[in-house]
Amino acid sequence: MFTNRAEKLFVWMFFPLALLMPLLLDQNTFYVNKLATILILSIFVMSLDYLVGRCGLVTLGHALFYGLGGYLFVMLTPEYEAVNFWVYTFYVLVIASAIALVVGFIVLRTSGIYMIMITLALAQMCFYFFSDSTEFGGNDGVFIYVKPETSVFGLNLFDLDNPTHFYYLCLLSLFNCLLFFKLIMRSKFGRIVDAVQENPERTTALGYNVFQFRLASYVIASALGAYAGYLFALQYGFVNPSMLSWQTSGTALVMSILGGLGTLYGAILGTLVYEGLHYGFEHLTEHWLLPMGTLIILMVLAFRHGLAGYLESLLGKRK
Amino acid sequence: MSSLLEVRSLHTLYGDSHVLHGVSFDIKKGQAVSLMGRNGMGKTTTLKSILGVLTPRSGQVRFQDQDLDGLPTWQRMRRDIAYVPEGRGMFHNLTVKEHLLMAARPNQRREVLWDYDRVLATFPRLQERLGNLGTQLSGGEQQMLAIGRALMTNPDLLILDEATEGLAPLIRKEIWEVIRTIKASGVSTLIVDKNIQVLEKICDHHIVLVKGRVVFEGNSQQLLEQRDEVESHLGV
Repeated sequence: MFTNRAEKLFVWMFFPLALLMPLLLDQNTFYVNKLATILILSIFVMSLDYLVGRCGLVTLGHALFYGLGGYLFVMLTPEYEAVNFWVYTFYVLVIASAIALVVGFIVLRTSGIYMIMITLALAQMCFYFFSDSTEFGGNDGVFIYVKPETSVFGLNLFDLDNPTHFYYLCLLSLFNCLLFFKLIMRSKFGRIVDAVQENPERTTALGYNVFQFRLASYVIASALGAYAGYLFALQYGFVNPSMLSWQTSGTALVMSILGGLGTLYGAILGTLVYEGLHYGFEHLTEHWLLPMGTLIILMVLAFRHGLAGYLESLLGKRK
Repeated sequence: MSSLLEVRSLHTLYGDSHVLHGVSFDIKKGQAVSLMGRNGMGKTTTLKSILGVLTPRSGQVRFQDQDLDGLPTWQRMRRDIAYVPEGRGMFHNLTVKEHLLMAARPNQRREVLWDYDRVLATFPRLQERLGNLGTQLSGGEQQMLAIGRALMTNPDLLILDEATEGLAPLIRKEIWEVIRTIKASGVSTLIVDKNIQVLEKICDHHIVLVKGRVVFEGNSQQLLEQRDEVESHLGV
């Protein structure tokens, strides 16, 4: 499954270590929550990384689905009733996929700079819709008063209010997400997606409808982006329009580039480093954006293929 | 023998530039046809018009008695046409094995005449390079992979654009041998090349284009009889 040496090393180091983190942190609620957020963001960044790095579809509107994931849950659930987590996960994924199908049908008619503009415009339209909507709390957003229960056939598997339980749910989700993308990329579908990214005209000449493959990829990435937003909403118990803002899309893109575009596991690396730097500089100085921005520029210049690319070159296995 | 591909009065323009002036020809089932001409005479434009990459101003393309006009390129290729482009068209992010597997599909009759094993048996060189990226192969190996990839789609018609361009003489010989094998397997071929000596032996029918017009069309015997005239058209 993980054939690349650097990827294998990362997966074998990261996931066992992440499994032990709540124990190592003595179940410190603040840090466990912080790490869970990083795991959620990693899912979001990975879905964008697949879209940009593997499908060649550069979007500045991926946050549209991250935000929708949260808002869909709020729209679907009764205000003071604990719904079933699994059922609502299914609902959110299906509805987000349906929306992605419609949005993708429009945005994939364009490419390059025009696609960036149209995805940005659509995400900003949604951002302003929720910002101005009194029903969804405007700029303040909406609170989720009761978190879902996780029972399957009457057996409660875990408690979403418990930070450690929630952390493990996020870790499992991230691992499944990586596995899912790896399976896709190893399948015939994934090979065609690679070919489409490399040369759409040539792929068409092999009898494949490039648009259909792009649309399918867009729907997959958007649904997983929405799942990340849904988890974020469950973790913090609220959703607000900032989840849909272009800054959210832009930050995810920076994390993906920093980690190594198209490598998928690089999305986790990029998110970890970005969030680590964010946390470190934030506590160091009030003007943390300046040193952090400078460092990110230097890192992008130093690691041309991102952190994953650097790791691969260190291990001598870059394709 | 019934016609597999019928090209009728194709007129294709690039902007205001009229490139094809009523090109017409037929390819019958199992036939190998050469399309010759100097650079810029409309050979690739003819192929692109057949494949739907370019939309002709007028004319008709029929394949297996079905009209292809208005169909996008990918749907035309799904009708069991395979195309090996000039420059081989490797994907730099796919290995040899991935190149072959991503193209694999049965033909419209759900038959698999060319599968992974048969293609590798036809191109033993590729067997040794399965894990290499397409761009890590020599020019000859890339051409073999491009033909192998096209065969994986189990076509009825294989179109080869400049199949031996830029290859060493020994490799060219190998490619021509493979084309003979493909022809013998019953796949029709349309070959764009300049090597008249080889084409007259391999192909059954020949077409020469000059400035977007068919100036010669005939079998190998007729080509031999008018060799001097045809060579003057080709600038040999």
